[in-house]
Amino acid sequence: MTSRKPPKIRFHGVRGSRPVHHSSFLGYGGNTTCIEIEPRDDFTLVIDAGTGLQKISRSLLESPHKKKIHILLTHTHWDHILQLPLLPQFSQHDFEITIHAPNVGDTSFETLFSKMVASGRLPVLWSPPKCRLTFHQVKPGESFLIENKIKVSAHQVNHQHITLGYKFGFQESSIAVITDTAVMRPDNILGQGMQEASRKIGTDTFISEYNRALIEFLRGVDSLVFDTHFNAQNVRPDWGHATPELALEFCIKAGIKRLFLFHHAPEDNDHMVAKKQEHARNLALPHAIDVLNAREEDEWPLLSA
Amino acid sequence: MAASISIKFLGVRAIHANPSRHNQTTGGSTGCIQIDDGTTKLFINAGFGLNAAGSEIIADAKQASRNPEVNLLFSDFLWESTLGLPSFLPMHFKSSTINILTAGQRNHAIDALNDAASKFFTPFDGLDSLPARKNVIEAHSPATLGAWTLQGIIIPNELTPEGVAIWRLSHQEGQSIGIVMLCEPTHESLAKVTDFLSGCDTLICSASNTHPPYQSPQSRLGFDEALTLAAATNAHSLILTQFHPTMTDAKLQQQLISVQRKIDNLKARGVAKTLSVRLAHELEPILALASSKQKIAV
Repeated sequence: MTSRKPPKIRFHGVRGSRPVHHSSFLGYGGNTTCIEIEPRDDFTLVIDAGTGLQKISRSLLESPHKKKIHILLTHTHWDHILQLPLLPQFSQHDFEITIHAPNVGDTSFETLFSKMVASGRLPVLWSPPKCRLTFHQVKPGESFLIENKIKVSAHQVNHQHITLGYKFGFQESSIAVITDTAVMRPDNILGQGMQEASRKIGTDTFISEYNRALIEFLRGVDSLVFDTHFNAQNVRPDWGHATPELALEFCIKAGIKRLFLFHHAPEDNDHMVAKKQEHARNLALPHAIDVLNAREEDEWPLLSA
Repeated sequence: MAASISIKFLGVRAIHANPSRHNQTTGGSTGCIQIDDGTTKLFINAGFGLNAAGSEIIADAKQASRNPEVNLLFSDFLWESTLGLPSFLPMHFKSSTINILTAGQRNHAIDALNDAASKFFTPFDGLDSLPARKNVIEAHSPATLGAWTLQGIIIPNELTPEGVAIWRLSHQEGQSIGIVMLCEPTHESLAKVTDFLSGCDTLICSASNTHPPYQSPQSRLGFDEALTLAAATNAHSLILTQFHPTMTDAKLQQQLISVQRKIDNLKARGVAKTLSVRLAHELEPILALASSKQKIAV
């Protein structure tokens, strides 16, 4: 009997805000956010389309069987979408590309994408896609199946516009990815519609409900990829980003045993990113949480904890 | 006596950034050039490379007890030339002044930079939401900045309806630098650029050498066209930049050797006798010497 290999997570871009190139940054990598969930199947599943996407697009050109790509966008800030219009597979007949993304305000991502490629600012000539291209508007709280195989759940987190965290359920394991989020507190309610909701039910109730819902969303996942752009000394919560302390707080409350520190700041060189991991590991020690820095080109099997 | 002018490439990639170990020597950030005569610093384009200069500008201004002032010229408003601006540190200081020079229309520059800092794509809400004071200056007739006279012309390019700018920077001590970041390799465009940059000592020229997977072969110059331009303008020094993202250090080195051979052939025929060529390397300063027909020294 042959046992099926577990799915894998592969990091293609781990940097937040903007790509950065310097020898002292290349140990962890300078590309902006892009994660591949390798489902061991005939399709490719990508979270975010930062500059790390170029690596997937190159490997797909060499892979004759994988002609379906699902791209899930967490939100539309540059560091998460920059590489999308440059994806060469748009111009190939034999590809099927589905882009799953939340709206921005009242604008659908499909509309935004159309404006983007027609803006006269793209560094390449844009021609109408030859691939089969589909857009799926993802709403906070929605769950859906990808290729009838992977269950995806979306949850709005505390970052500008509608920014989604995603949870992926496999037969063997599960993982959640929250690329950008900040601590929720009365002076730092950032997401679209959140201010209105907090006014309606009261700020304290809103904050405690937000935190409870996020813990419930994460409960039971085996691994968590979480925004740790800042540290406790330099945190600017209004920028919409978090710290290892916040990431660990959610891991502890939701019973998660493996944490990937993600969205490294472009100002943080390899040494600083390594120090961040060391600090987080010390904090995690009493809770038996395995803390790992997300590093470009690293891949990890998704195992049940 | 000629002024000592240093040229530093903060970003050397066209199209998109490609931070990679394979690009460790040449660099992986999108385009930005810093030109400094010791008094006035000019930056050409605001690719992601621009961010490398941000904290130094703030620190220098603080040390000199003056407000930060940045002179930023644009060759074009494509993503590769603008997306570094919203996160550029001086943009976030109320005390900063950013002089934005365009060879095209002022409103095109403002629209493009508003797009780069749009609320859809950044935590900001357009150019005006960034605290620095912004002056947008049209420089199709020569503009003066310190000891520099700056002039740009617009030539058509299939990538953008606004066209792209070619810059000529002339220093009062005699040096002149031509900048060609984006140019179609057509006879008409090359003739216009040659005419405009004729007699420049140093030519900084893109060598994007566009090839798959990107579909815009007619919008950018390759290595051979850059050499043709340098020879035609009678430049003494050709610095190649704006490399295709897939061109690794090793591939670029091969291209450089090939261009050097072609220059040797030209010299053997009595053409481009003083021309030297080099690749731009990110964050490595180059000292550009005077118009005394001396070669560029590192």
